[in-house]
Amino acid sequence: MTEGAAQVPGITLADSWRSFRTAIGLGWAIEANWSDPFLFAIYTMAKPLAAAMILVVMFQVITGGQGTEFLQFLIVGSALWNVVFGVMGGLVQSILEDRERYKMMKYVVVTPSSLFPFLLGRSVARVLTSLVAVVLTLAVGVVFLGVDLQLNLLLLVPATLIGVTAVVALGVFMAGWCLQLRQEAWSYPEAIAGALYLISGAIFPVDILPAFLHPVALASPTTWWLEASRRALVGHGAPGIDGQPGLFEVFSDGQIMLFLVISTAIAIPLALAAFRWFMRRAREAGLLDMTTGS
Amino acid sequence: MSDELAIHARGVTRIYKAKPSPVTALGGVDLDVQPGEYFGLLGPNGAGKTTLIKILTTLLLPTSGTAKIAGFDVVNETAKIRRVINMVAGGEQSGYGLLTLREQLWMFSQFYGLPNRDGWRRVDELIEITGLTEQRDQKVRTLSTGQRQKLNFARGLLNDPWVLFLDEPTLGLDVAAARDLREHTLAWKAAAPGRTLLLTTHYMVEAEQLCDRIAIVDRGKILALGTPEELRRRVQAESIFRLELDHLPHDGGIAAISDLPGVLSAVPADDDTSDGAASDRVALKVALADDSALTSVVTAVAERGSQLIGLAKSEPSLEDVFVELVGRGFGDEEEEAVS
Repeated sequence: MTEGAAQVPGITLADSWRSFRTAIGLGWAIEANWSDPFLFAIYTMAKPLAAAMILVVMFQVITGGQGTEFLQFLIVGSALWNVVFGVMGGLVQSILEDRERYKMMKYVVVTPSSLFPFLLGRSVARVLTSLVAVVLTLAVGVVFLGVDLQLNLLLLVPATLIGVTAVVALGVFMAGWCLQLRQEAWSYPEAIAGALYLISGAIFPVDILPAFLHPVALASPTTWWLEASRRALVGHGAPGIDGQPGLFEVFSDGQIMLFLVISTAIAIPLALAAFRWFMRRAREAGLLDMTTGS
Repeated sequence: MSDELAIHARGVTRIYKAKPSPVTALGGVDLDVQPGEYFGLLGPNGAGKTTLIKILTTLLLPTSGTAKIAGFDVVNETAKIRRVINMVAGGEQSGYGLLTLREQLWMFSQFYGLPNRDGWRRVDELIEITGLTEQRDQKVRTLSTGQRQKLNFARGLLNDPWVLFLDEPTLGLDVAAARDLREHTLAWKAAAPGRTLLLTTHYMVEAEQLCDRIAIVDRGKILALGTPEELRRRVQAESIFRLELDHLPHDGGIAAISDLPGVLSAVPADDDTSDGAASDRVALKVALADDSALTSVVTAVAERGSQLIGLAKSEPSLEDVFVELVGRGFGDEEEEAVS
């Protein structure tokens, strides 16, 4: 054993990649196998559409069918927010389900693969179903609600990749935080995502927010992601209020992407550092196999 | 020195924050387990056994003290430790219910870094060893408690660990399933003598059957440590025999035996059920300084006209040892403490 001990490697990139790939399969099985494929497909389509339609109907009632620009703003924001809710909720749910429902987290933790790639892999299914929801919501917007799609793939592809990465980073932070909490913490990411929903310009422009919330909004990568995505999908970003120019109108597409990259580049190491700290704290407090079921 | 040990712990303490006051689950545990040794931690609920396993398997940090597995520190070298250990806990319904038994094992084979084809081969091999062939394509949620625990055990062997931790592995299993699991554990040892096992249990028979050495643990401390034989000798230095005679020796009765050299005492046995009215049969409990005095006892009995009908050496059980050390039996304290 002593001779062999000197040869024992730590976690390698190959380990992490293998864990990530394997966890994708597990995530998909858990995400999709709870029902038969037909019912799962119906659920995947109906949920985001219903949420978007509620907003649209409210908007139409309030505006009397006027304000196409705002309708487009609303539909794109509502569509993209499926990713935020899906990914953040999915990561937290993975942590809590694996620990408390399946009681398997401790067995994953004691393998040579880190929990981090496992969690990322578990979230891939949620990212994919969320992207399907985005596409469906936009399609309904185009076909039935007059959304004028002006695709700019050169902007859309990098904005989506970086934006989803930023959302995953936020989800990793949330997952680490919820590891410290009881089973009921599954509702926390919805609260956080809901707060981001309000400040990131998902359903109304950031300009409407009180001035003291502007720095918070501008620090969040989701704000820049939504703005970049709107420009890439419908050709313009958030509209101004009362005839005033919008907060982001002074920025070019390149500048918006630059802010998205910068805010994401800050969010990723912060999320990783926080997750590492939360894991350490979970080991200190004995939370990795805690069962708090109520 | 510690590099040569499978498990090395010095002063391992774990205090849980709790209200109204902190709970000391481990109060400075020292432990050395040699490679190839099957070691048991025997103690009641709340003794600190599971807490120690959690620390040694890197799930929990000690409040103070140091512990190493195969020379790797449990606080700072977790990645290396996780490559050479595995663990199986009992008394729980764990598993991804939506996966089949075979899928779940394969998934973990990937987490342990087995190449795809080798992973499937290892999975099928373990399914056969643990007798789960018929259930291999069943969803985990449809398995019985015993089958789930066998699956759990198979997962624990996937990476052929240097050190395997079994935490109450037979808790909640029926007699047959528990016996199967113990047999699998012994077979695992027999297949490669260098493998090390740390078992926690509160079943005496399990500890005796599986372990080379046992530590008796209570309230976060190791009270005694040794082979089962050494532990018994701690509470009973003398050799005690139960003699069953057709009648008491004619010449001197019990005193004829108790006065013999090497005999410490001779008294009627507590379990003497002979019916004095119907027969003269008698059972005696004879304490000897050592086994060699038995010959003179048997000779003296025969010389005095009594016939020896039965002879059995009386061994204290591990529970006797526990009661002697702790002052209470295993069943006397069932409340679940922090562990």
